[in-house]
Amino acid sequence: MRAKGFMCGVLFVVLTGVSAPALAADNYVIDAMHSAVTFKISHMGLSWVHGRFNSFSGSFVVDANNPAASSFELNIKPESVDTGQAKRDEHLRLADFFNVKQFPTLSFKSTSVKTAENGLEVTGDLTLHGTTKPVTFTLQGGRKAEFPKGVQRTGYTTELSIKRSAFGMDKMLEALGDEVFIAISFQGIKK
Amino acid sequence: MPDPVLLLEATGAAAALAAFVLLLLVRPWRSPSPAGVGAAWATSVGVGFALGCWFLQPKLHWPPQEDQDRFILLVMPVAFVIELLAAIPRLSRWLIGSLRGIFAAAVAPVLLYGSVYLTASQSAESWSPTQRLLILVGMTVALVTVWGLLALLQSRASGRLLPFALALTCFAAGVTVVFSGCISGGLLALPLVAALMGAAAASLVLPASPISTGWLGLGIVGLFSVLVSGRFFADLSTGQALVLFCVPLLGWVPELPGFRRLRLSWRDLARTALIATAALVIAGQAFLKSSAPISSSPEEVESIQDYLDFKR
Repeated sequence: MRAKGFMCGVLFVVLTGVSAPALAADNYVIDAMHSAVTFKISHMGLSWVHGRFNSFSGSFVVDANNPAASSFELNIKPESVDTGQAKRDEHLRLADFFNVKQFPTLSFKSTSVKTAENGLEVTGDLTLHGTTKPVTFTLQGGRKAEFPKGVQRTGYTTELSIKRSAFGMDKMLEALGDEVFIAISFQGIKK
Repeated sequence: MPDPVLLLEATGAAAALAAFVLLLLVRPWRSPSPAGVGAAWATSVGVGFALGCWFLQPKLHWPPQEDQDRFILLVMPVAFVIELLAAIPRLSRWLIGSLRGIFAAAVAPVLLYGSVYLTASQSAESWSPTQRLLILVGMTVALVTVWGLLALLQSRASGRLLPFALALTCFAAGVTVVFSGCISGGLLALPLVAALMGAAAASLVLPASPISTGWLGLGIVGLFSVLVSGRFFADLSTGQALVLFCVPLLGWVPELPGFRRLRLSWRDLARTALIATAALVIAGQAFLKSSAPISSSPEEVESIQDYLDFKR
């Protein structure tokens, strides 16, 4: 009887232990209020123009025990581009740059996630201006917090650079640089 | 803004080649046939436009991704081929008319292909099937009507200045689109303006030649395309686009009963002056509008409760 009870205990531990990684995958929805997608681009090689996108959404899955099962997705509305100058923003939305009537979405969807020295190395497909290309960046962060009470959060930050011409966004390169430096910092609320 | 020297080179080359090709093909020392003149006009405007575009080096993508790609790589080449076919005397007028009609119906959908307007999406700008039908049919009717009325005007008035007038309208359309926020799209009108001007200038040295509308197909389709791009991919208003597209019809004013007594050359000058004035006034208005400061609008502010709730 005692042996039977012991075996049941072992079986319970083994089963819960085995199922633990599956339970470790946490799903989050990006909290845009505490997140930012910003960029800077050279103007004629003289100075940097800084901007941000005010409208974006996304979700991610973080599996602490199996990073390969993690995934990240971000959808940005290029129409929400904001550089602090209304006329410039208007120009950026039109056919010389984002052409938002032709390409209304800018998105990223991860295809692989692995552990890196200082965070998570994420590779995925970036779609900009109707062209999809793979990009890789390192996400740093992953700290967790409960705020307000009962709401679990985690967040990450990354920086990357892309050549806009590689995505077919190649007009007026002499005025606005080809290389765009992007910084993304996001916080997710656990579902 | 692009290099002004590059713009001058592009327009100069387009005009010079269009003029040279017209003189070469019409061969003023012979008596040209109407078909030959039609083909010469279409060829001169077509190759002039192509050379001007080559000089401007617009950023084109294959397969075409946006309206400018489709304008240069699809719309204008097809217009050119149709106008060449139209110059073949053995082809029935019915067939040519049908080809032009089908092409006119296809231009707007081709330019707008894949955009938020024609794609079923949640976007507020996405057209419902009924809206799509009405707008596309409306644009086709406008193109066919203006094209037909200008062809009729050319055959009736047989003046030589109508290509100049259309070129001036294209110039005003290009400038207006540039001031509407699409520099690359507006500049694409320049090679067409230069080719029309060059061919029209060369035609002035020709002896009286048969009436031709070989230049009209490329000119009117080019004007229409630039305005569609400006309206749907830049900030050109519907009113500005419609008025600019209809401006060449002012060329009919000197054909009204009171003016018919005037000599053809005077009527030609009058129609050119009318069209040029109207086109340049619209371009000037676009410049003033683009120079005006933006009025501030009250910002949409989320409630304090939204903030305190942390978007839960």
